[in-house]
Amino acid sequence: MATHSTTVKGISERVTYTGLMSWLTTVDHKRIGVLYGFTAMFFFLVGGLEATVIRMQLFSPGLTLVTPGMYNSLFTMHALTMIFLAVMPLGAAFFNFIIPLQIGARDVAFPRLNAFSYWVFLFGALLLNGGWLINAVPDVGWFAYAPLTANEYSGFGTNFFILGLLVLGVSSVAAACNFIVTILNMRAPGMTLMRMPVFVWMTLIISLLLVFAFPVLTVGLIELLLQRFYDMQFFTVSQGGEPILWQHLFWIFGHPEVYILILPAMGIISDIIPTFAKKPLFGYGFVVGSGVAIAFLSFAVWAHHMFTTGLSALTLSVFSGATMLIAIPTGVKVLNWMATLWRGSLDLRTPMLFSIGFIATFVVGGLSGVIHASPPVDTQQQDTYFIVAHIHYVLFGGSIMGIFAGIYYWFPKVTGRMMNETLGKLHFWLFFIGINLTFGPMHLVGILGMPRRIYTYPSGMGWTFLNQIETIGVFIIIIGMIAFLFNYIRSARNGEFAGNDPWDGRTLEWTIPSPPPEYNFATIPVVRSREPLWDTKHPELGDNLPSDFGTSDNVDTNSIHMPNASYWPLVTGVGVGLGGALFLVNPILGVIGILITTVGVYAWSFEPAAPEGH
Amino acid sequence: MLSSKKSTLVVLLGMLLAIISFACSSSETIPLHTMDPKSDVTRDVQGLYIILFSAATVVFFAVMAGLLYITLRFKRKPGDPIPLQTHGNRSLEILWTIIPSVILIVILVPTWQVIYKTANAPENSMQITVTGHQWWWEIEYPDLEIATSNEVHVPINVPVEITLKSKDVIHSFWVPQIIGKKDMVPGLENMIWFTAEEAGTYYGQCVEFCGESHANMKFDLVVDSTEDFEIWKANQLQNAKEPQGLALEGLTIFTSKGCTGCHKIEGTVAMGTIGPNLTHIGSRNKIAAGMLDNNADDIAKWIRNPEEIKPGNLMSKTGGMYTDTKFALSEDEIQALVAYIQSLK
Repeated sequence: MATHSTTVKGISERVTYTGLMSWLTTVDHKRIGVLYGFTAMFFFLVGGLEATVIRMQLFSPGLTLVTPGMYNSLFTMHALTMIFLAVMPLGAAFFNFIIPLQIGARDVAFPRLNAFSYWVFLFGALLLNGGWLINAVPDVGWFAYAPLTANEYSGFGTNFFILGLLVLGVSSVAAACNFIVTILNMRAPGMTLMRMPVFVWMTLIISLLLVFAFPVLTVGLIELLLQRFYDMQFFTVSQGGEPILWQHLFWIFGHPEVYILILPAMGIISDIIPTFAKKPLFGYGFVVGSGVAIAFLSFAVWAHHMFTTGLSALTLSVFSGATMLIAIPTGVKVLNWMATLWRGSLDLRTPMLFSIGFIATFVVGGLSGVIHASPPVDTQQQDTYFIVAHIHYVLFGGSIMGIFAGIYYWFPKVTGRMMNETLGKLHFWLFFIGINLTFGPMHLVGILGMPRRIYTYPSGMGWTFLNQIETIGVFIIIIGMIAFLFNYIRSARNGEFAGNDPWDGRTLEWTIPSPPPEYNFATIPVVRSREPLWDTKHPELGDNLPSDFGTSDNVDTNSIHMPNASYWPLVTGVGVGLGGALFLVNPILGVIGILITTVGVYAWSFEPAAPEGH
Repeated sequence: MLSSKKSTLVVLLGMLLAIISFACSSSETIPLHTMDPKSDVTRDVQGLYIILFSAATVVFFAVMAGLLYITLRFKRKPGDPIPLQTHGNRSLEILWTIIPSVILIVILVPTWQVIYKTANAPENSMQITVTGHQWWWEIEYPDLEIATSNEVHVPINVPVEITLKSKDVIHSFWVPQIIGKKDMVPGLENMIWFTAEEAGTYYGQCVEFCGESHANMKFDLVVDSTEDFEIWKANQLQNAKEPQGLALEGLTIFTSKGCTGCHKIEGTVAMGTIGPNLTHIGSRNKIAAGMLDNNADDIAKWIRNPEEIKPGNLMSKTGGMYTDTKFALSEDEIQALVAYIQSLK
């Protein structure tokens, strides 16, 4: 725990720590990425466990494995956990670890804000799950429609939903601001916007979406908080409130949120496919432009979640048109990925299998989405298992497949070792089969009229057989997950050494050692093309100039300007998280959280961010 | 290679056949089937549904076949050279921006047509009001002065307009074969309409999550022939039948145990409006909002322990016979109540 200093002549000592304290005080984007990754993977397992119980309860008609109240809590927490505590932070893990490496930077723009984002995320995640300790788990659905959330109709669990998401919102918006500034300001010389890897582009877009979308949810959450704690009836008809107001606020956030969940995966596979096809991404400009178009359109389609609430014919027509428009940029992306594969030299290793698998399953989710973008058809599909099939093809078949592609792809960079290919391929096939067995039949059972969010169903509805296949599919996914975890642990310890560039990569992160040193780049590279490493390795293949990566030979790595470690982000994060928790005990106690946060921000503002003299 | 391609093709075709056979299977075995229309509106929706499904199916097979072909055809073989470094092709990009745009127009135009065609009810429609409660349905025919619950009757070939309201949280009214769903939102009056084209009993279910017993909020929609509807209507306009024998004992218990505070039975002192109207409950197909059959055993089961059938319901939370052991019903009293309920034809 001792404070360790790196003495360099003429300048003050850099503050660092060792052991556990080094993790609590870290401002290194790579370590924060690892923290995000492990925390999110833990919650992915929690959310998966919740889903498994749900599927076991629905294995056949009339089962009583869990009570109806518990079932409602399970599907509420499954969605909240997977969206806010697994997929979003898994994305954040990649942003943290990979973005600075891909743009040739030594850290993010605001390293301490980055640490703060992680700690607030962790405490928000714990707070959201706090209800399990006192048997008051949110049970109103992740969408929490008013007036079911009013004190009259729901218990204390709803308060964990409100405070948990408010705290998580602080984390998301802080992280998003950080990545916007990092990507716009910290790029290596020569890396123009149109030379950025697609993953960097998608991260920029997601960050902008978060900054615009999350505050809308925050407004709704604060109104709900004022209603539940202070009797200000924003959503109660008898007192001048309006239940539908909540739905507008929620979905103006909620639809961009879908793209916040899927665009990281699209960015990841846009980097992986060229590497394993040994060809540049086909139509780079169109892929990036499609991402931007999707982001803009995502703010103009929220009402398609509300097609059955009684909107006018004109509103239905406009929002169905806007929703269907999204199919165009999405289709452009899919066709460009396929064109990249065309006439490539496809090395079907695990990251590539997950990427191609992503395209196949995501396309299914995209097509079913177009079908219920038609309001009259949606009157037959809304709130049936057809929609459950759709979102899981997009978010599991899409986001999660893309994220695993990324884990297999960048694992060598993070750990310095290779993952086992055989186990990786086994994982892919178990996932691919498991996903289609679990979520494929949901299309059919939805067409056969099975509503969502019912804790049981009678026999004689024609749903039993399909539900049984779905539940079996879950266990195939679980076996795949076990193969992954075994592979991960074994490879992290004993995998083959990776070297700098195990995949014959194309972008900057593969020019530096694996795992990268704390400062990432001994010399900041000078970039002269979109795929600097590939073009430097193969000057004969195109007319792109080779880039300049420098060497570490003559660099005194101790003199590289790096930020000080700091425990103030943790203290400030504790203030935010504790404030939320104490507010639930008694709103007055929330002040303690505000005080800790204030002290944290004050001390943080006045401590030196980096050794003086730089 | 070829054989694996062929076998994949067989699998894909098999999936298509499975989808078609499921979509065409009859509603007699699948009560909530969404592709088995029995009204004008659901038939229009079905037409649209088929256009969209067909378009999606064509795109699905085109993309999957292409992806599979490309993956197998261009799989790396030892000694393969580095492929040509193509960066894109503007004409192709424009082409595959235009193709999906054309497909969208093909599906948007009929979508808009159906939206406007189904937007407003014909002027001479029969009026019904359905109000959602946690977890049952209150049904009124304002022009006919009929009030009932949990079983909607409509005449065949007559346009019917239903006003949807809610007493508490948001519910959603859905009878897949007769009318697509629409939400029942507190403070709003939403409208749906349809003309039923085939007599029969159709299943309905709440499809907006509405709390603990959301899964237990169902109802029947009965499409009657013109004559049957007149018979039903005449019966509904009568007061409750005078009970005899055991059923009369049941009425006494019904009155003395406080059931009258929540339930209404026309022609008796029971004037409650909190729970379902029971005036003609004996004539309905189901009890407890579609949860149980209307027979002596099931009625007794419901009265004995409603919490088991519909967790969280108001009757087991507030009914004296469930909250206070002093007022608990004896098995004899339950049988008398069953007889009374069954007499309310």
